[in-house]
Amino acid sequence: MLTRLARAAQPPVPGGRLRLCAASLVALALLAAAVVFSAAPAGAAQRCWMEAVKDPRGAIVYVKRCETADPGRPGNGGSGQAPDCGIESYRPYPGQELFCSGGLPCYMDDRVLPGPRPPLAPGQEYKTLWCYPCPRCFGPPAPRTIVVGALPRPLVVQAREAFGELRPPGAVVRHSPTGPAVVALETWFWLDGATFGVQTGSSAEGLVAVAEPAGTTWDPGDGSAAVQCGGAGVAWSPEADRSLACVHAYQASSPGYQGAVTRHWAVHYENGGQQVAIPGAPTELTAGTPFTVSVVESQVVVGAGD
Amino acid sequence: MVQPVRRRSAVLAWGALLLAGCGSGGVQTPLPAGPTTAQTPAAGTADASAEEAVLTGYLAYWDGVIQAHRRGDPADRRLAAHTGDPELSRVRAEVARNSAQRLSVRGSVRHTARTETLSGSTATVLDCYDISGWNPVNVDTGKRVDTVGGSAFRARYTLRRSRGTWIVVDSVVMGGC
Repeated sequence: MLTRLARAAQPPVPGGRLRLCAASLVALALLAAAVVFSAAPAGAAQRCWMEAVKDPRGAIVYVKRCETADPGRPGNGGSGQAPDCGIESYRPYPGQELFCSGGLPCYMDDRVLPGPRPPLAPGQEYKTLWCYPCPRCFGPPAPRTIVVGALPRPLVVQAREAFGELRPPGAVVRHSPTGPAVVALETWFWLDGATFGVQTGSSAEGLVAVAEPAGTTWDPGDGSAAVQCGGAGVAWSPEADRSLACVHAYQASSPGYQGAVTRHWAVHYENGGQQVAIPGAPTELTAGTPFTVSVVESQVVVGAGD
Repeated sequence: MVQPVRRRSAVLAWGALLLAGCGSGGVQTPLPAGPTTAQTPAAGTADASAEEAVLTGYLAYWDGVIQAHRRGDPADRRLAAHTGDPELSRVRAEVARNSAQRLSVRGSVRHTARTETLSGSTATVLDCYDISGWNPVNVDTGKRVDTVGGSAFRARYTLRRSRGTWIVVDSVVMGGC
């Protein structure tokens, strides 16, 4: 009766096949013992256990580990080996998963125990951990609130995630002359300003990747060397600063050279506004954009103006 | 300036072996071959006493962190006196989370810290700290909770001078050491 009461008031007790025998307590005890220790490991191909992990800042997070069980070699809870806490002696209710934690058979559920539940980091949640008082024994399990879930990820992993959130907009290529370029005359190339600005991306933890424009590389498409520019180029005008211009002179006409511009950003990372050096994190973002330029002989231009 | 820093209860001989890979040197016990003195002086012309003051503020912050975790009190006054946001909010959240789990973290932390930069009212400290002696205890049972995971970590702390003392306002854990 004590056992049944415990089951009613508390989460399931091991030995679901236990039957009450009103005849005598002795018989009850014998029956209970037989039930508890007879439950077969029901083809348990995998053993799981929970480990308390202390993160670098002292916060405790419970993490579930699993491994394939070797029936002939009980584990000891050491590194990479499932601990033996007598789980095989228990028959969990459907949907209930037993595992070892702190050397005891335990299970988890979502019941909310009294007490505060301050906010958690992304990927973590509160659970209630119920553990039996000893391996292979009766007794109501004791509940405790725990934090389960992901540990803080290494900075380099966060950085890669933040980097992946950098989404440069499409580039809009301009050139002058605005129509066909002219053989042997300089063609100025530039990008619309809005397409080459500072970009940011964030990880789930708040690490920010900051991509700052670092320059452009222009492939004119005629087989000549690429043109390196410190910025996005500058629109042609009589007063334009030529030192900022991205310029190329085509040497032969074509109905359409297939050129491309590659934008380069220098990437750094910030945490709470403070720049953070993260070895192994990507430091350059690039984006290529093709364009087509038709080039005509200068005589055609002269002729067209006549 | 590389500055060995020792918790009151620290045993450096043991910690030195563990922390030898931190690269800052400066511990008082034999290290593997390599520099054992400062390689990266703090920026500017800050003198040793100024850097010492930064480290003093840094250790005071840790005293607050340890006390808050031991007491399970996010509002711990010592913590608040030596910490500013966003670091203060971060530590308070961690203390509150452990407290919700009925855990008190007890023991001490070993440090090998140096002032990395010092400019005006801002400074950074690089530390390779060891938390293997700082462990959770179930406050209901009084029993230690066994944990797994790394024990020595490399981190950069940002400090700001506030009312004549240095307080920690931010931190980034960069990995193991």
